[in-house]
Amino acid sequence: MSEPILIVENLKKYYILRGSLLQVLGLRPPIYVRAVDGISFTVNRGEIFCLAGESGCGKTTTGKVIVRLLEPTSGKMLYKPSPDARRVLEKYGYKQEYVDLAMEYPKEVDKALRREIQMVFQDPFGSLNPRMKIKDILEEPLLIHNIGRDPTERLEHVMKALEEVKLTPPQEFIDRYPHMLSGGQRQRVAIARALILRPSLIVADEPVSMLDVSIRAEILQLMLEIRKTRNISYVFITHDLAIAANICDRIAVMYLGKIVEMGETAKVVDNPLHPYTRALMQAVPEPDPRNRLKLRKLDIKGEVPSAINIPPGCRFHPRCPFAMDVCRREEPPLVEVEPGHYVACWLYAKK
Amino acid sequence: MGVGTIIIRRAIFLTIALIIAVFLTAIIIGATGYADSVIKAIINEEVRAYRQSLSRMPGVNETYVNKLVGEYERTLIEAYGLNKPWIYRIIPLAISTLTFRFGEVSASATSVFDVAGVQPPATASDVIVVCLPRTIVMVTIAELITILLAMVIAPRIAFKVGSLADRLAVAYAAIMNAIPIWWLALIMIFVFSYRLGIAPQQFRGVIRALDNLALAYSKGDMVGIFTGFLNVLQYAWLPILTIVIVLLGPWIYSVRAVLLRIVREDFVTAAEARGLPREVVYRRYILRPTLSPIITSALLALAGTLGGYIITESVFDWPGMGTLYYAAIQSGDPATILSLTYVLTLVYVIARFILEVLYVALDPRVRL
Amino acid sequence: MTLKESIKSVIDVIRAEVWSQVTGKIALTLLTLLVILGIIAAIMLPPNFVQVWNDPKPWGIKPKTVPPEWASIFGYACVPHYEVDLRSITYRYDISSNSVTLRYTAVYRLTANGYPRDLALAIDGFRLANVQSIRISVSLTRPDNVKVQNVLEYLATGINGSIRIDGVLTNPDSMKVASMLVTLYPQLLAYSSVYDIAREYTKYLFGDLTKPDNVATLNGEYRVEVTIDVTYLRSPSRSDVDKLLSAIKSSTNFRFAIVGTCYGLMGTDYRGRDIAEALFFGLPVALLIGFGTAVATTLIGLFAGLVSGYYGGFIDEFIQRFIDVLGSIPTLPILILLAVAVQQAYGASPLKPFIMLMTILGTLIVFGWGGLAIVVRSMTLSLKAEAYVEAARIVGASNWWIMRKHIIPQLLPYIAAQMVYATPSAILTEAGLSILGLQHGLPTWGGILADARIYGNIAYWWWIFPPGIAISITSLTFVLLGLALERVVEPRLRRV
Repeated sequence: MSEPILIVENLKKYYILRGSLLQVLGLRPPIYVRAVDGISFTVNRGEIFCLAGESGCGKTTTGKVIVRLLEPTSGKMLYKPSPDARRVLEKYGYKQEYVDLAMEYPKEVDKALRREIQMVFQDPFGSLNPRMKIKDILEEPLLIHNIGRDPTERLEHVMKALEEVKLTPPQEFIDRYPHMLSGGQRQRVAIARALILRPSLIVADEPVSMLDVSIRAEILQLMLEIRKTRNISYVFITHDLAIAANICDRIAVMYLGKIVEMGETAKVVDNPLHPYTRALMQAVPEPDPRNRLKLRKLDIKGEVPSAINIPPGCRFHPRCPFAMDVCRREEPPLVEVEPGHYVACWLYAKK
Repeated sequence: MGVGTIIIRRAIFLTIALIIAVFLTAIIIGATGYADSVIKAIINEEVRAYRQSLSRMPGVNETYVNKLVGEYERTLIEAYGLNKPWIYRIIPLAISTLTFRFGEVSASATSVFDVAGVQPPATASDVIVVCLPRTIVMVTIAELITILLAMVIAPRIAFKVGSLADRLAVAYAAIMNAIPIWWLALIMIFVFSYRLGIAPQQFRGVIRALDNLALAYSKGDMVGIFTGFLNVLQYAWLPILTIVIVLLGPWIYSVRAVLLRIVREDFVTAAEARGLPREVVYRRYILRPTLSPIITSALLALAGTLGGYIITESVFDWPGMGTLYYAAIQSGDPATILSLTYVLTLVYVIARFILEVLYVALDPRVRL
Repeated sequence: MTLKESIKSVIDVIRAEVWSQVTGKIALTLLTLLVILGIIAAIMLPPNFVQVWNDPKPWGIKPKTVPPEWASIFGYACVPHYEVDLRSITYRYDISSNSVTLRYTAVYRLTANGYPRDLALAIDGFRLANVQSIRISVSLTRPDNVKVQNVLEYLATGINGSIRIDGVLTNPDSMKVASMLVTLYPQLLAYSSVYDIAREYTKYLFGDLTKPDNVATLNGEYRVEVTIDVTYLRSPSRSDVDKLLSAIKSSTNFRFAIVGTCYGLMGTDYRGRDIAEALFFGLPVALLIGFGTAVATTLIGLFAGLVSGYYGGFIDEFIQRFIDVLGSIPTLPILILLAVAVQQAYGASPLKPFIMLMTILGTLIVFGWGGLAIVVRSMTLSLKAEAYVEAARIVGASNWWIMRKHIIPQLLPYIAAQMVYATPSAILTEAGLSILGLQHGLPTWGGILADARIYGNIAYWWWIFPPGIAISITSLTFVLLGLALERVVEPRLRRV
């Protein structure tokens, strides 16, 4: 059950800025934007793994690297292909159990691997082509991967996918355009598109953050159901720790391109160790009315620095109330403070 | 990206564009061999005349005539430089043109001298210098009048979108977009010069008129300046009217479009919502931001006019830059063609460069 | 979206957005009309039209530089042109001992307040063997029943027994006509001399001579009799008549004309060519130039913009700088330069019209695609970043798939607008070149105007107005279409 499906090792994604003429000519070193700066984690089969953090922390970049929209600067993404993909891989001589998604592959292998990992976007308005009917949007992946012999067979697949995301009766939806649907319905279509290729891993980039609060729960419920029926793994990207706490199995908190705390959700949420995680947890609205008047202490100051000027040492130290000398000098390692609970902070590393 | 970087990069690219424009022209002149064929025709004509004059002399024997004619032809070919391949004649000329050492106008290019109204020998810069003021008094002034009129008229109609005046202006713009200036020029000459007889039929007279005006100006003769000015106007009013009629339509339309775009901006709505007086909103929030795009296109258009309107000037037989260009092309005179191409491209490129520098310097959003 | 569906959606847009506007209705109606007329003209265009148009021979008999017939509405004293083609009218024949006589009669109805300009006989390509001589004479019976003999005479003698008549155009000997008139109407001499009558012989030939001091047009029916006398060395037989008739039938031209002072729908130019014909056949040429340039610049601009925006990097930089350079080069002088060069090099070649046209089209295309490429590039850049494009890429779509399905369909209205704007500018530029005298030889509107300027001295309204109006209406069609499309493309203008 808990076999890893994706092992990310020291993943980095840097952007190069060549602003001035001297930099263009190579006379001055270019500036790097370190969007993702060496992160490692593992996603197990059937697991919901959360990447949490404020905007600009690199969580979306990580997601896009995993679905191979972006090429990583360095690092490994070892993925365990499904039997279907394995057949294609073996044809081209890739026999190992895990394949590195950071590498380049022949066209057919590339296609087979793309089928395995799909994505659900944050914005259900932007992720569906406004000029295509729902039928065409869902048929597109089938056409690209030559699934279904004829239009009727493909239409059957499309109907099934719509039923699976509870857009029933599907006949009512196939001929509509995206703008004729509500936000929640659109996100269901987006999920249907991700599912129609029967992937093993779905990267969900803040799938509910742009939806009305009233329908968020329905969409999350749907995603949980799909995991149960299909045994799919999720990389769930969110800035909302409340949602993360509710649906994730494990959680990794990112800050400026690095994971600062990672572990089973229960452990991280109930016992946040890193000062940043604690500050984030304090920002979560308190559902229990009895606790509402309890004084909340929000003791981080300032703004997230830009990814161009990452502070030396621990990158959180300028905002950290517990900053020590060592924090300014050296970057803290990610250490396991209790079984399955990792923190990158000098407060715990010394123990 | 730094401001300096952007400016230097633009300067380099525009310089390259300039060099390419001149060399492209040079290569077209040379490689197609058309300039050569024009000169060859002239040489053949002169050789024929020489042979005829020789044969009229009594008692000259045939072989001696042939020998003399052959020698004469060789000297002519050498004099016109046809003995060297075009690369050795045109390319050095292009390079010296680029360094502002404009070449001699070929003696065979009679129509160039004709248009310029100067006697040979002359350099390309001489003929350009005499033709430029004539284009300015007609084309540039016409464009200027058009722009000013458009800026006066457009705001009056732009705020009454859908009104009769607005509809008429749009219809006028559409029609004027479809009418070529040179055709209206034909019509205007037909009506005003031939039928009504209130405009001149020959426009070359403007050369004398401008010379007289310049003379009066140098003497400081006020009466002379006034009559000279009237005299120039007598020639220029019809071409100017023609150009203004056609260009006004598109200009009103584009100024109106810019105004409409700004009127719909949120900051205008915000200003109105704050209850600012109409006049203030109009002046500070609408007119000011529209000025920059309008000035941009106005400057480029004015820079463009210095080259003259080749076809329109030709129709009026107006001895300006456009007619000069055409005369140079027709008589295959590489020096004038290259110099004109260079000067025109230079003016355009400089105008663009100035605008880009202003744009970068003035608009904070361009800088990172 | 498949191709069929994109076409359908384009048609839907046209119906819903363009047709709903007044400008759109006018533009689409005009466009349909122009295209239909253009196709008809292209089909009707005789294969040798260019050659015939530039050949002075067949035009000789028509009146030169005369206004259209409808000019009479505006009080112009207009006498329509009258022609008898002897190859197609009835005849009587006589055979005498050594000659054959053919008599053709026709009726000329004069109802005008003016006089014809001239009489003319045109013969071309006539061949007859075994004869001594041929004499063609025309006599005219006036409405007052006075017959004026031999107003026009033409005599040809055979060389070695055979006669060839090529490119002949004869007019009456006015002195002879005058003296004949004086014999018939001696009272004329009291008011004018024979020389005066000869100078204006048509005035007297077609005038009411009862009041010789005040001659007015004699309206009514004139009987025209053309007599062809062929003299033989021997006695002719019936078969000689047949030979003569077939010689007339197979000649390329054999007609008599009473040359009017106005002609046809649009008048004639300085060589007596029918301007209406040139206007009609100029339409497909103009449309071809317009559409050809527009389609080519649009396709190149689309391709370059897509590549530039989609792939970015070095190729993008290269394309953008290339457009920069193209934009800085003065297009019109280069175009004129090339046109003059082609004219010099291929002036005499029969391929000249084609080469010249291709040069003009090619230059317009090379310098014309930059604007669209810049627009397409910036739109591609923003479309490329759309989440639905990323979604397609994650699904495994290829670059070509994404361009075809997600980017090009969104660009369609802009592409259409660009095409619509490029069309008139190409038509106007080509016409402008013609005005300068750089003609490719096909009859074009610009070409008519050029002739009107050079040979007509801008003095004839029927020569300068119609071609310009034709150019302007064609351009206006596309300008209006552009205005209508602009509102589709730029939603901000929709409320206007």
